[in-house]
Amino acid sequence: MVRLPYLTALTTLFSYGLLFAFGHFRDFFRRILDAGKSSNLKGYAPICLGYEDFYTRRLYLRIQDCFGRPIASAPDAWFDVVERHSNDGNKTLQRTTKTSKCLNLGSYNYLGFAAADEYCTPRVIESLKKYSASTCSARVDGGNTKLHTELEELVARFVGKPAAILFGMGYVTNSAIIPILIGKGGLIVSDSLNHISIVNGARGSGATVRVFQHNNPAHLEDVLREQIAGGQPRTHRPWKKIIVIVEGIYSMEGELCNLPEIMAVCKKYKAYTYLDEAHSIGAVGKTGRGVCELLGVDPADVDIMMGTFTKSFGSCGGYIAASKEIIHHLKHACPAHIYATSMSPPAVQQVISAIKVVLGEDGSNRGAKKLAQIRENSNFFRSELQKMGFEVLGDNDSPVMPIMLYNPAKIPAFSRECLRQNVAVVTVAFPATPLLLARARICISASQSREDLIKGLEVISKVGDLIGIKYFPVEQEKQPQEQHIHGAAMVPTTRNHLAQHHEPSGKNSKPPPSYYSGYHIASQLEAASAAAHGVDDLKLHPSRFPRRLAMAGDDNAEEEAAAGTSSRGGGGDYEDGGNKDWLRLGLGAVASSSSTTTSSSSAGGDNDGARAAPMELDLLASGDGKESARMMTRPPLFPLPIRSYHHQYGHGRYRPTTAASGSMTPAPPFLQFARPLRSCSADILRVVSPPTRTEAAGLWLTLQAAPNQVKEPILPQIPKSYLRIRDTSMKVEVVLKYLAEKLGLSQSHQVHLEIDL
Amino acid sequence: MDMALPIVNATTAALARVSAAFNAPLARAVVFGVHIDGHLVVEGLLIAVIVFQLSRKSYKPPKKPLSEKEVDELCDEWEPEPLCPPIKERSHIDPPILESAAGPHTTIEGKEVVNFASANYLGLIGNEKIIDSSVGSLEKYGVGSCGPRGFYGTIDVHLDCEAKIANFLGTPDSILYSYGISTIFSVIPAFCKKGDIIVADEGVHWAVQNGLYLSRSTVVHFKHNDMASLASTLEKLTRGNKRTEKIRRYIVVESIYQNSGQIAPLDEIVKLKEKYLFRVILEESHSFGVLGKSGRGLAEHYGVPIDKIDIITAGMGNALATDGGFCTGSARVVDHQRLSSAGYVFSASLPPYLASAAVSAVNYLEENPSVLANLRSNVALLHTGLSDTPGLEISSHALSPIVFLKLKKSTGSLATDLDLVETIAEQVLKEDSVFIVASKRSTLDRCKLPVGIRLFVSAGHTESDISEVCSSLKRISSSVLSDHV
Repeated sequence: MVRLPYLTALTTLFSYGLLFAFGHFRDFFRRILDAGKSSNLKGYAPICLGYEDFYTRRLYLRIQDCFGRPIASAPDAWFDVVERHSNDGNKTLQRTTKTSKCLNLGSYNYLGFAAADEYCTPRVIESLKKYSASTCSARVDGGNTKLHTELEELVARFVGKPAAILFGMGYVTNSAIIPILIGKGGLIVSDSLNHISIVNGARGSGATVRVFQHNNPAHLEDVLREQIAGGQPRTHRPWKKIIVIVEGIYSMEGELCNLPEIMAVCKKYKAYTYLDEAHSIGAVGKTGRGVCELLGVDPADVDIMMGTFTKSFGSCGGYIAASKEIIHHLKHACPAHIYATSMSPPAVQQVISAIKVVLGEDGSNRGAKKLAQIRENSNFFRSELQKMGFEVLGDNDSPVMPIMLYNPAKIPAFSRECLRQNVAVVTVAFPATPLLLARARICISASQSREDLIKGLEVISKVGDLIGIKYFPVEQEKQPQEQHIHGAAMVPTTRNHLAQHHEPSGKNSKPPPSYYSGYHIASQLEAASAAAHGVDDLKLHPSRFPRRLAMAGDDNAEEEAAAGTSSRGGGGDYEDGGNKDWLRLGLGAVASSSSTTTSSSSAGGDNDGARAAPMELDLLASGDGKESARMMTRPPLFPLPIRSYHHQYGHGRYRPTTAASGSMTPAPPFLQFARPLRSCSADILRVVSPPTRTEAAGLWLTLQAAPNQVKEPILPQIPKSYLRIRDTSMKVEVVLKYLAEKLGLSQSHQVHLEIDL
Repeated sequence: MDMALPIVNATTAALARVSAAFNAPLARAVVFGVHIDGHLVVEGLLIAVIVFQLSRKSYKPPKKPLSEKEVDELCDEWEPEPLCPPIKERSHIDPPILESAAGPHTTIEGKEVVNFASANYLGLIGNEKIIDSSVGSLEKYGVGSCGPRGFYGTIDVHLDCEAKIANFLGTPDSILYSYGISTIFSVIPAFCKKGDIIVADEGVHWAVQNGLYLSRSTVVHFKHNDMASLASTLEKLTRGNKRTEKIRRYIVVESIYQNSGQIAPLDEIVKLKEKYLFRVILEESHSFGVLGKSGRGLAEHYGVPIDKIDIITAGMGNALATDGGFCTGSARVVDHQRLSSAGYVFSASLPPYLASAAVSAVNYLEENPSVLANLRSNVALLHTGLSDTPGLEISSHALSPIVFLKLKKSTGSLATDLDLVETIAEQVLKEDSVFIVASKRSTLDRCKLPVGIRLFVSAGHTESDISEVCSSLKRISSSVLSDHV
C-alpha cells in the first residue's frame, strides 16, 4: 500500500501538468499547420480520436525507447540488448546491429528456465522434431498429443488438484475461462489490482463485477455481505454464484495475496475462489507450488487455480487446475479449448521438463537449488534495496519488487541511465499503474549469481542517487556489538516503512553503506547468539542460507530474525516442527488490546471475533532480571498525523491505535487476547519472522494466523501484527512461556517458535 | 353540489366571523392613506404557515437498513449454485490422443491414420527446413520469451517476423500476437469503442464474437455471406444518419469462414465499403497462405489492392504450421495496437522459435508456390469425391481448404445434429483409420450456422488419402444416416 507524500504528489502532478500543457500546445499548432492539408480520410472518422492517443503521442513517444527494447539472446541473467537510435525525435526507432550485454532485471525468468537448460532443452528439441512446432488443430480435434495429456496430469499433481486443463496462452486462459464459469446473474468480486486478462474475462462473462480494495479481506467481507444481502441489482434476486478472483503475486506491486484471510472470508460467505498464480507458481513456496504452499493454504480449498507457464517455467501458455467435474465441464464448453490451436508441443515439453526439474524427478537437486536461489536472491536484493533507502513495494519472498519513481521525468532517467551502465530494468507507468505511481520493476531470477546482483545493486544505487529516488533515509550499518542495545530507536518494518511516508530524502548526500556485505545481519546474529548462549556451533553459512536455527522448545534455541519473510508457511506440516528447513515461531493469537477499546469487538464472542488492529508486542527485559512483557502500540516515527498502516485493513472502521503525536505512547497494560486459544481447534498459530531490519531494534516478529486457524472462520483473524523482542539475548523459553501464557495455552511447547533466515 | 352547500356556507360564516373579529380593532386603521382591513392579518397568517411548511424538510419514508443480524441471516440462507453443471451422460468422448506429429498421416493408439483434422494446409508440419530453423532458434533463445513485448519480451526474430509478413503481404508494417485466437479479439476492442458501429457477418467464429462483445460497440449482424443483406444493413445504418461522419464504422468479415467454409466476396465488400465509407476488418486465419496466386490471401485472390483493406488479422496456426497471430495494415493501424491492444501489451510475447518457424514458413511459400497448386487440386479432388455422399452435402466454397459437409436434412436441433456427425466421425476413425472431426460448438458460441463434418485438406495429402476419406465417409454416413436420408 503506497501512500504518496504530499510534496512528491505535488511535483508529480506539476510535471504531468506541464507535459499535458505542452502536449496540447503542440496539438494546437499541429492543427493550425495541418488545416490546409487535405486529409485522405474523407468521410471516415479518424481511427483514433485526438484525445484517445494524446497520451501516446505526447507523452509515451518521448520516452518510447525505454519500452519494448529488443533483445538478441535468451532472456537469461545477462542478455544482449539491441541498440536503437532515432532520427525523428523518438517518433520511430531504428534497430542497429550493435548490441550491449546487460544484466537482466526485467524478465519473468524466475527459475532461470529461459535459457538453454541441460535437462529441458534436449527434450524440447526432441519433441520439436517429433511433433513439429504446431498441431494446426484444436485440442478437441487433432491437437491433443500425448504430451498435452501428460502435462495436464503433471500440472494437476504439481499444484495439488485432481485435474487440469491447458491453454496456449496465459491471457486467454483467464479471459476465456471466466465466462464459462459464471454468467448473467452471477457476481464476480475482483481485487482492484487484478490483471487486465481477468478484467476482460469478467467483462466478457456478462456477470456483475464488483471490486474490493486491493488485498483487503475486511473490505471483501463488506462487499460480500452487502451483495449477498442486496442480491442482484434492480431485481434483488439472490446471486446465482459468487466468484472471488485474486492473484497470488500482484505483478505491479510485488505483493503476495493475503490468501489465508481471503479464503476464510470466502468460505464464510460460500463464495468460490479463483486464484491466478501467473507470477507465483514455481517462483515461491518451498517446493515451488506457489502462494498456497507459501502461505499454508490447502489447494483443495481454492476452487479454481489458474497459472501460466510463461514465467517460472520459461515456456508459454497457461493452465486451470480444479476438480474433475469443473475440468470436464471446461473441456466440453470452453471456446479456447474447442477453437484455439492447441499449445505448441515443444512448449508443452518444456513445461513438463521444467516441472520435473522443480520436483526433483530429473534425478538431481537442481530444482530445489533453483528454488532456494530465487528466494535467497529475492530477499537479498529486496533488503539491500531497502537499506539503500529506496521505496520498495511488495512482500519478502516475492521475486517482483517495484521501486517507486513517481515523477514522470524519473522514468526515462532511471531506465536510460541503468541501461547505459548495462543494467536492464523495466519501468512502468500509466496505464499499467495509476498516473502518479510510476515505478521501476525489478524481477529477480534464480539464474543470477550474487555478483550479478551486487553489480545490479551498485548501478541502481548510483542511479538512484543521481535522480533522487531514495525516498527513505539510508540505513546505517550496525556494528555487531551494538546488538544488545536496549530500548534502541525504533526502526520501521517494511510495511510500516511504506505506511509512514515522510519527506523524500533523495538528496541525501551520505554515501550508501557497503550494502554488498549481504550477510552482515546474519553474521551479527551469529555472533550475538553465540555470545549470549555460549553456543559455538551456531554458524550461518552463506550457501545454506535459509537454514534452521532453532527448534521449538529447544532450550538453547535462539529467536533471531534477519532478512526473513513477513509471511510464509510451510505447507501443511506446521504442527510437528519437523520441517527442517525453516525456523518457525509458531504462536498465534489475536492481539486486541483492552486499552484500545475502539479496535473492534474485543468481547470476543463466538462470531467473527476481533479483527485486531496490528500492534506491536514489546518484550522487554526488566531491571530485576525477571522478564516481563508489555504490549505497546507503535508510536509514530514522525510527528505527522499520518494514519497508521493498519488503516488499510480497517479502512476507517477501526480507529488507528497510533497516537498522532511525536512522543512515545505510554505502554498500555498487559496484552490481552480477544479469544483464548484453547477454545480453538488448533493450538498453534505462527509467529513468522520479521520484515527485516532487526539489528537496531531487537527482534521483530510478525504474528500471523496459522493455516489451521484460518480455516476456522470463527477464529479471530489476525492480519499481521508485530512482536518486538528488544532484548535479543532473551531466551527462547521465556518468549515461549510468555506467548503461551498470553495465548491461554497450558504448556509452552504448544507454541512453536520459528524464524526464517 | 347541494351537499357541499351547507359546508361552504358554514365556512363562509366562520371566515366572516374571524375576519370580523380581526377587523374590529383594525377597522379604522389607515396606513399611508389606505384603509387596512382585517383580511391582511389572515393573509399574513397564511404566508407564515406557507413559510413554515416550506422550511420543513420534505417527508421521506424512514429508511430501515438491514441490521447486522439480518445481513448475517441472509448470508447464512444464501446458497450458491454449483460452479459447473452436473456432467451429462453423453459428454464422455475424449478426443483421440496423437502419438506423432499431426501431419497428413499421424498415429493414434499405435495405428497410422490419415489426418483430415489439422489445418496444415501447406503440409508444413514436419518440414525439415522449418524444424531446423526452430531448433536453431530454440538453442539460441530458449523456449519462452519470459516477458511481454514492452518489457524485454521483444526478441529480434519477432521484429524479423513482423517485417517478413508485412513484406510478404505488401503492407507497411505488421504486429505479432502470441496466440491465434487472441489476435482478433484484441484487435477489435483496440479500434472499436463504445458508440462505434460494427457490421459483422452472423457466421463469424467465437473469437470474433468475443472481440465484438468486448468492444462494447453497437454491433449489427448481416446474413451469412449475403452481400444483399450487407448492403441493406449498411444503407439502413447510414441513410439519414448525420452523425455517421463522426463515428467509426467497421465491417467485420472472415475471408474463409471457419464455421461454414464460405469465402467472403471481397470485391463486393470493398465496393460497399467505399460507397458507405466503412472500414474493413478481415479475419484471414484460414486464407492467409492459401488463397491467391501466391498465397497472399483474399485480397490477392480477388485482385483487390491490399491497402483497401484497413485491418487484416490472421492466426499462424494453420497454413504456416506454427502458432501465434498477426495483424497488419497501415503504419497507423499497427502502431496504435502497440499500446492499446490488450492481448499484445499484457501478454507474454510469442515464443521466439515459433516466430522463426513463421519466417521460414513464409520463405518456403515464397520459394515453392507449387505447393498451392497441390492444395487446390486436392481440394478439387475431395469436392468431386464427396459430391454424392449420402445424407451429407458440401456447403463450403470450391476453393476453401476447409471442406464442410452438413446434413442434407437437419433434425432441427443443433445438439442432435452434432451427435449424428460426431458418430460418423468417430466411426470413420475407428473403422477406416481416417481422422476426421465434427465442427463442435462451445456453449458460449452464438453462431447459428448448421454443424457438420469439417475436413481440413492439406497439400501433403495424396490422391489415395483423399479417395480413402471419400469412400469411408460415403459408406459410414449411409449406414449412420440411413434413418435420416
